[in-house]
Amino acid sequence: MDTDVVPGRRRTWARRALGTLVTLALLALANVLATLLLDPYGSLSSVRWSEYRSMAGQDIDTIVVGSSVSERSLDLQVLDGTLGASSFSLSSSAQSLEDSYIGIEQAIRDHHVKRAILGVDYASFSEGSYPNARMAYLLARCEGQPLGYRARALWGLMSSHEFAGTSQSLNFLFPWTFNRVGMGPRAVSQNLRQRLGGTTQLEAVKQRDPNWHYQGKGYGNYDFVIDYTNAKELLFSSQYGRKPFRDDTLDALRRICDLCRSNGVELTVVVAPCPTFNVLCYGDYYSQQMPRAQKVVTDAGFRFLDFNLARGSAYVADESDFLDGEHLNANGAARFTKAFGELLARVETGQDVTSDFYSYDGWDEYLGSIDRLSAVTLDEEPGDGVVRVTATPYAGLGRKVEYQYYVGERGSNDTALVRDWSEDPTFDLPVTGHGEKVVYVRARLVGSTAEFDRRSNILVTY
Amino acid sequence: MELYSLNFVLFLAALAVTYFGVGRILGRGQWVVLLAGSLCFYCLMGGLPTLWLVIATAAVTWAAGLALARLDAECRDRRKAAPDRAVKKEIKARFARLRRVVLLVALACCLGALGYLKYWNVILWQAGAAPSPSSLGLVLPLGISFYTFQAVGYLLDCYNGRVEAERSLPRYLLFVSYFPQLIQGPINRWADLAPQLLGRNRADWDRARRALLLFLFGAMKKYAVANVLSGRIDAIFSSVDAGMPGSVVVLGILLYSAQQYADFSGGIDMVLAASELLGVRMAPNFKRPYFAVSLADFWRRWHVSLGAWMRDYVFYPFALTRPMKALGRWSGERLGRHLGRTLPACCANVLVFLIVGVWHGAEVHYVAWGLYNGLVIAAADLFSPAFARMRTALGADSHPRLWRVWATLRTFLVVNLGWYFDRIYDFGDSLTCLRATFLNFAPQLMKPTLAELFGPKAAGPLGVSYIAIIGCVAIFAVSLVEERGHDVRELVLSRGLLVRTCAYVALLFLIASSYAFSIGGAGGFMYANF
Repeated sequence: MDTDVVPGRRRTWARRALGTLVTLALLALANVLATLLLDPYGSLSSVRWSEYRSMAGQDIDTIVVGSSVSERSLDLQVLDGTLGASSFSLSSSAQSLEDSYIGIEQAIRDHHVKRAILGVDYASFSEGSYPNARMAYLLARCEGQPLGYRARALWGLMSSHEFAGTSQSLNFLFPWTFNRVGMGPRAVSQNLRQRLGGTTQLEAVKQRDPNWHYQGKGYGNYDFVIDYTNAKELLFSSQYGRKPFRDDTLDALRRICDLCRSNGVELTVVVAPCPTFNVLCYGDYYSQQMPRAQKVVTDAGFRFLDFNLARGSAYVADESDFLDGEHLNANGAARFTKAFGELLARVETGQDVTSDFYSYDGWDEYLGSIDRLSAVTLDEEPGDGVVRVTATPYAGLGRKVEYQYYVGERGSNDTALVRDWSEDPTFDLPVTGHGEKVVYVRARLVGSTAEFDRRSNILVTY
Repeated sequence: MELYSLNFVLFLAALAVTYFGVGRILGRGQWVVLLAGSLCFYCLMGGLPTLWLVIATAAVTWAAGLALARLDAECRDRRKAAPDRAVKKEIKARFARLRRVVLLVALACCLGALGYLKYWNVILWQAGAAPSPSSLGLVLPLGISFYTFQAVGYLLDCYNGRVEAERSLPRYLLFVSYFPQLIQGPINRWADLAPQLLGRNRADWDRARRALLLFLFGAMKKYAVANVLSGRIDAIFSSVDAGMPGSVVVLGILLYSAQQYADFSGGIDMVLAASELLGVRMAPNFKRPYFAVSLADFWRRWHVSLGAWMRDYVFYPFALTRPMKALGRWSGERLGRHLGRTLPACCANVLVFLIVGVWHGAEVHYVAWGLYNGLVIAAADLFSPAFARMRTALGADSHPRLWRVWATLRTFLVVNLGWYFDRIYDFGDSLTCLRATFLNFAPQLMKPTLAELFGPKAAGPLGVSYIAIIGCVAIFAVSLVEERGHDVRELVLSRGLLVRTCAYVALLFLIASSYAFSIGGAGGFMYANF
């Protein structure tokens, strides 16, 4: 045997293996460095999860999960006070149902929770997962965990059905590409200072977002009130489009139900209230698609409560309760949580609350119950010598709306009345040459004694 | 399934382990693993409903190749037994007719299927017999153009006696369905690919490293440049009107130059790398096209395999037809020797590029694009003596480098003029943009557009625009080094560990940091459903 060849080959392979390991180590080091510099220190999820971990061994009997509608709709102090519970929220912005499942599973394992509340909206079932949100959630829940836990969690995300065939699956190896601070030296150095300088995650979040008030136990909110004039930008149908529910999201909901059932956890799926215009904007889709999610939950023996369809006996949202087109603000969340908690308490004592809600089958009855003009939006269409501006009202079935039009210049508060109250939603703005005008509309229900119920404006460029 | 994804990495890894394992353990039969892997890949890419078409195309061309071989053998036998030359001649003519029938039937099947799926709905729509170009719901199967051209090329090679017909359908099916070439080429030749596909290949460390580097470079082109620029180009050309400044149009076209090259060549790099890992070297498809010194040279460097296919199966056969030969003779006698030689080639060039234009799509702007390229190349051929005299008069021979730079820039401009008809998806809009370029350039209006597309807001937190710029600089640098005859991969891999690692890290980081910020979220390859 040629003894020179075999040891030589072994040395070559050993050198190659060592070279590969060194390359991978250097790559990992560069990646960790980039993550330290660019991944924001202190995300809302990390604040939540670090507080959650600090409550190890303490009593938590109710876990709240879901997207930002859940994150901002359920005031846990109010909920605990109403239900006599000890709750914690692991909700997060754009949380996917897969991550909601993980949150419930974790809470069952750590605290043997008896109650799970999943806050959803239409987009929870019509949209796919957002990789940014999934990465932030994963990083937060993996903080401080052993390497094996992190590796399993990362692999689970990379190999998930939704991402495994896409480039995101490999990009999950580079967390700093998903959520990051600004690229400027100031932002990066501040991030590093906060990370290494003893700033708590909560302090870091508050420095970045001073308007966010954290109450504790995973709940935080804002005090802003929605500007209904900007309803067009807030329309769900514009942001997400009118789409049917995805089968994979309903499957994920089914898995959550199965998890709860097999662990003796009472699940309540609650559709948090949103401004009425964001229910109406879906047209027939809302009443056709929501029952699909409802059926999954009720078939599993759990309850599905859509507070957009709540009757006055259960809950009435105030116009100032909303932060924006989909979330409640702090006041709104407190009011809603009280109503929700009281209703849930009744349900848990065996009472039937069906009569407290309109049904999807009786959609016209719900539409007829809407006695306010929720919003008005404007669209423009150029024509021959005119630009036709059309108002779209978001009101109940059979409600008549009247409109008043003004025109002004951009940047000026001076306006001129160009069309007095009329039920005609269109206005033809005569135009010559090139220029721009701001068209304002005021709208109100016919018979309303208010100066106007809602208004909007649009910049017309011609 | 994207090429840069966990699924593809796992697929390729599993295939490579099985492929080399079978080779090592059994010593043969690796091609079966490749065939199974290729069919599996096609299904993973969403092609299961149309897999039958791949198999049918392969079956038809395989059977036709065998039929031609059988006819040849029978013709030889009968001619040997023939009593005299007249009978031999008659036998030869009869079998030539039979061979032509076999060829035409097979071509009609394959190209007919391609033509029907690609153009029938569009033709009906343009004739007013269909409400839209997609109303019939005809789905273009993944890679149909590429595997059809490849199969047709094999058949024509069999017909012309260049290759011997393959007797085994599964082996031939591997050639047609070999997975790296399926999405967007290259269009390979039986003579080059078959021995590699059917032969024994061993795992090789250096080849694997080269493949990895090429794969990452290709992915960088695709994601850090093409995907990032795609949304910006859409933003420019989504609403063309008469008032659009020419400077903005030019910006959009230049961005498209980069985007199209990065997308197409990036994808090709990735598939070449995947194939190289397995020990199969496919035909190169790009040879630094933007360094070309003429439009003809450009098309010898861009989509090389399609150009070669068109040259061998359209250009030469057409140029050598009787009418073209007659044209050559007639023009040679009346118009001079140069025209006598050049005119048939000019006609053939126009035909080739008309076909290439239509291959891109049946829309008018693609036809215009094809005609533009064909006519410019034809004109360059026709006037080549005049250009040669001008070159001499200008002293180009004494300043070859300067002349080369000038020729490269000139070619770049000519190519980009052609992109007006390729990227702007309406012929009227293409003309509007051309008019704007020459009559309403308005350079001062480019600045706000640049700021909007590339300024701090558009650049995003990770400066995605800068990522695209870095990517373009990297592509240019690599191309320059390669144009000078150096092997860039060898240069990188022969350096120390630190340099190699820096290359991997830089490429991976460029890819990773780009994907989340591309406006419009471009995903698949531009040519995937061709």
